[in-house]
Amino acid sequence: MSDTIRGAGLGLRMPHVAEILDHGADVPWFELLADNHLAAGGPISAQTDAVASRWPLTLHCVGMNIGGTDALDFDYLARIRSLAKRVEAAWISDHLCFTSCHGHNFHDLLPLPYTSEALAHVAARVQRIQDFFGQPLVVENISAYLRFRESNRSEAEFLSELVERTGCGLLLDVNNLYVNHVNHGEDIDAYLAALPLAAVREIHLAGYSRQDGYLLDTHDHPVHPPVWSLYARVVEAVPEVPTLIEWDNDLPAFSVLLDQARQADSVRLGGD
Amino acid sequence: MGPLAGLQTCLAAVLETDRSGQDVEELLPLLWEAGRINGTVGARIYRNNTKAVRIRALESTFPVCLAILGQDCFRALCRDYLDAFPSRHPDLNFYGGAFADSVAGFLAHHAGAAFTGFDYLPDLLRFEYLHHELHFAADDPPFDTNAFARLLRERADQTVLIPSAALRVFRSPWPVLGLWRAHKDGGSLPDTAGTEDRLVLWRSAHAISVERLSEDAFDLMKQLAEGVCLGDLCGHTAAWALQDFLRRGWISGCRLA
Repeated sequence: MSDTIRGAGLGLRMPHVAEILDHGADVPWFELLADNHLAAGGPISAQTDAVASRWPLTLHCVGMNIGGTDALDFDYLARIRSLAKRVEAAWISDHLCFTSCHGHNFHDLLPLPYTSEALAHVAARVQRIQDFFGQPLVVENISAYLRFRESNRSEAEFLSELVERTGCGLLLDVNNLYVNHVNHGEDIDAYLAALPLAAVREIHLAGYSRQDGYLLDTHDHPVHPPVWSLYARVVEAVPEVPTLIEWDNDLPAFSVLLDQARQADSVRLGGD
Repeated sequence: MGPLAGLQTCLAAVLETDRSGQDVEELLPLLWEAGRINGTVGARIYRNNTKAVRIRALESTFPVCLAILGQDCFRALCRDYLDAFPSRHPDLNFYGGAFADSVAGFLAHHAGAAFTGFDYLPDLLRFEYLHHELHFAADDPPFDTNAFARLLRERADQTVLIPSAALRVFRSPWPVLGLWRAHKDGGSLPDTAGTEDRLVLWRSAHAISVERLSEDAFDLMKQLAEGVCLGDLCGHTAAWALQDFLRRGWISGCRLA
């Protein structure tokens, strides 16, 4: 685990950057949504460098198409690798999903079937990405709104086998785990029992929305009480794993995100 | 095609079309439905997500045109674009590259009374896209005055000046700069039957500026951008402007033709 990424960090969002740079921020680390920081130059690039000079960073991606059957996009991966090197990112993460098909990018995290074929396919691609980056990739569980009949293992079992085959790290999104539990009735105890917790490098927390009896992973609310409870269970098992607050839509004042991060630290240290 | 590729193709087909019935019917037998979300709802969530994220990208790229048209009208134009132009790259910042042409096609074939007086819209969209694009352009290396002096001394006629990577030129029969500024900053609208605009847009330090050029200076800049050698430009009626281009950082370097 990186020495510099500890405690509860925040996902850096562009509307907050000027405030953070002007006034500082009592945050141990930030995570960049890498796809928003790929500018070749100019103000975005300069702001990214300014943040990187003052805070440890990780990169979080949404475009590697880890589970896709299109060829890997090495132009995109090269831009990610270059950004990671420039900002000295502690690690790079992306999602267990596919994002493009036949050259069309959907810009959403689309679910995979958990089959032997998919596992072999994803493991080979993760290995190629890791070889290209020269470091382990960190792979995140997603909120899924579809599940496939042909899956013959759980997501946690799939991730466990992926770790075993590739040595990748895991990013455990506790909100996604809870959303899938509510939407699909998936067993959280079984999930946590099957997941290799020693491979978890990072935890994500976010808020969901409720719609017509199901939950949507919208990242537009504070973390909800049942997710805090689940988080408390997780950090009891992995207290040293850093946590990140994600908030993407209907972005509140930066101070609200700071409060969420402080609450995560409090829960991790055994408070409420 | 293996089962994984087949499944992804099937789901992709559902997301790419609003002909909801038939495609979802093909997907449903592949789904396991035991929870609160059935396959039809799940597919609708993904379809909405993938459209919403691209619409947001277009709204962010074209804020002035969005303000002029209003959200409903702008989104109606987006829907045509989403269907005809799938996103081909993970980076959404450049998704709007063909939006102006799409809107021009729409106006040519479908526009009724609702778009009367909006003939300038495609060019305003093109202008906004160039402005947006400059936010992401590469920084220039420092201008190498020694290399430039050497080339001028030895091979002046074959020297090509390289425009800044963060510079664009744009010509329109409409007063797009006045229209853009009036809607962005407030103020009076120009007469759309007014004179054409010949513009240079560039990013210096971290600010983007736009300026009108004379016809001669615009032609000179356009020829520079096309890689015409200094030898062929020395008789240009605006050759005097080259020094100004250099001083303002519009030229990033030089090379031999």
